[in-house]
Amino acid sequence: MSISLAHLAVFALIALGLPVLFWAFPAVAAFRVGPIPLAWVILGGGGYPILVAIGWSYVRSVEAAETEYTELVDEP
Amino acid sequence: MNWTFFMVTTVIVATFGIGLYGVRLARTTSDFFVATRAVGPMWNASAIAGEYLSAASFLGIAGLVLTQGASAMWYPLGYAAGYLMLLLFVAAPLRRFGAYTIPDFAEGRFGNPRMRRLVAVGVLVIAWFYLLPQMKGAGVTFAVLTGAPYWVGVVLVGVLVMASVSFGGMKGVTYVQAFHYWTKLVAIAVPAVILIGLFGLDDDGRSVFGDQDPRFPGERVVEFTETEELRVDEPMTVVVDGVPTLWEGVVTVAAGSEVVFDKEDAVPQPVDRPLADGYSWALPFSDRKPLHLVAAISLLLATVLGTMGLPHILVRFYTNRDGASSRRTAVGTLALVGFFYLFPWIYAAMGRLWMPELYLTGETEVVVLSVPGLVGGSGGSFLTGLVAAGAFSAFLSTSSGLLVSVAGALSHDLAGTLVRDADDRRRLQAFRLAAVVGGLVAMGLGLVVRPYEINVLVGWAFAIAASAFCPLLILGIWWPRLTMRGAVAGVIVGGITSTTAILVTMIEPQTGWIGVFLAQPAIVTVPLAFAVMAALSWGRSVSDDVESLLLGMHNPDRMSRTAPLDRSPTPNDRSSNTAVPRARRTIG
Repeated sequence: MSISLAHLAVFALIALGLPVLFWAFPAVAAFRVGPIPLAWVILGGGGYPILVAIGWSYVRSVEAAETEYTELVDEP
Repeated sequence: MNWTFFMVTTVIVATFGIGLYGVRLARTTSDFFVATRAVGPMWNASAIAGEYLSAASFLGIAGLVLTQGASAMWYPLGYAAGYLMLLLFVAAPLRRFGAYTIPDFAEGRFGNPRMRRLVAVGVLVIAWFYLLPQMKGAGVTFAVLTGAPYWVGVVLVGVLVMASVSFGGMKGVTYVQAFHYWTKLVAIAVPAVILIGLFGLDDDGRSVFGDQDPRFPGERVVEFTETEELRVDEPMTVVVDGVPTLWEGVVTVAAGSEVVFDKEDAVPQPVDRPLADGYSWALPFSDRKPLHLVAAISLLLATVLGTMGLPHILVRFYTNRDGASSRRTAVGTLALVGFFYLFPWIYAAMGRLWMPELYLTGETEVVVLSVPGLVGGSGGSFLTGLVAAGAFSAFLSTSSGLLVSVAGALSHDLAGTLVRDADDRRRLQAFRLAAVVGGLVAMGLGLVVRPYEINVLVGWAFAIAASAFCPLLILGIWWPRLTMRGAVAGVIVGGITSTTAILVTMIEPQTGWIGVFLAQPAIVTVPLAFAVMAALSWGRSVSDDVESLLLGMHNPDRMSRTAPLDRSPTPNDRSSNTAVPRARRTIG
């Protein structure tokens, strides 16, 4: 549960922070990486690997926690 | 046209071929409804992604980005991020619970069959709503490719889907859906890469992300099929039906006229659907109005929390072996769906820069089908055929998944004991009948939704799913104190408020703040549903039954397998009849 919430917090920060950031600081969205504005770089591509990374890190930590728990319980 | 015909037909034939092969393997009724569980996470992730990427992803995103620009880019991000929520809170526990549809979960969690029926009604609303844009996509695609009337495509795809669902069931569908994912990925990625390589993102230094309004990149002949009022900001001379004419101010073009625009002419603005200017197309929130920020956040909430409430997606997680592989499937789906979303916006950028005449004819939604034609020659028609095949793959895969959910809800959850106690053959007959009825309803409604944007319709289905089912799933799985009273009230309040808001917007769109909350209701209705559930359940004690039910969901797989009360399920246990009792037996 706490692992879920920690990962939710990271995701929520990014997902809610991004529109607020673009809204509050238009210069950030307009900052150009080569010819392409940063907003398009993140929304059109860069955001997805971040999502997958959060997901993968969650799976690994949960599986580790479950293994530990199972071993703990199985011990007499 | 020949390539298009050949490739679309190939997709349809392959769909039925793989489906029929699967049916031969499907021996029992439970196979038919849920497929077997012997499917690995990678197959499953492909199948889920294949079922998920619908007309909205394939056509709708590019269409909406073409008209609205950067502010439509929140849609795909939310569609993908929904799998992260599913992973964090739902995938593994729900799989261990042994419920494979939301109605199953609702009945099993609260031990009351009436709960099943209430939730089944919600499933029908969401699934039908989600079917509408698929039907619309089929109608417009078929019209663009062949010139046939709108209804022909709707009926064609509707009938194909009804046939495949009635005969195929789920077993065949897993492999069919996995095939569809890879078809769609190739169909969207290959032309996108070729187009961006050949044409690029700027025209003589005029970037698509610049602050200029669109201009014609060369001489363009535009046929107006309907009478159109255009606002011309820069006076220019165009050739209307062979006669050079000076255009300035507001001009009216008669239906059937052919207008030739010159290179560098500014694209006139259709009065009833103004274009986003360069600056507001290229950057989100360029007008800095707070209400656009609220709309974007509300949309993200709807898509991120709505994915877990989509009936046709959740059912697929049941085909995983256990909770852990359910999680791996969710990550795999997130990666596959995210990878797909790298491509749709490229079509929108290509269309804005190289085919701005789409703005005038109003065919923005089919930009994905139109821009590959820029390549010209047989290469161009090959690429057009490829995207057309991908589009049909999208309609067929999502619609059949949705129709399975509709038919299941009708024949299994709502028809009650009449059908549930019948033998396998009768249950199959009821399912097939329900599939036909459900498909006919979807086709009928599909004929009337033509005026609405595909992507907007899908966004609404997500908003309803997020408001009605997300609170039920999250609180039901994680909060032992949730009572049936609270759950019922929350589902009803969330479902009715969001559906009402959307229907009001469809019938009579509002403006200003009210308009934002009615068009993107999730930011209000999702917290409201959570609050109602929590308020009505507060202070109740937890029964031991529920406590151990939740423990069973959250215990690691290996432990629940070795628990003395759980016996390894026989194949017959997989039918939905026994899914719920089995879950309850586990807790003793």
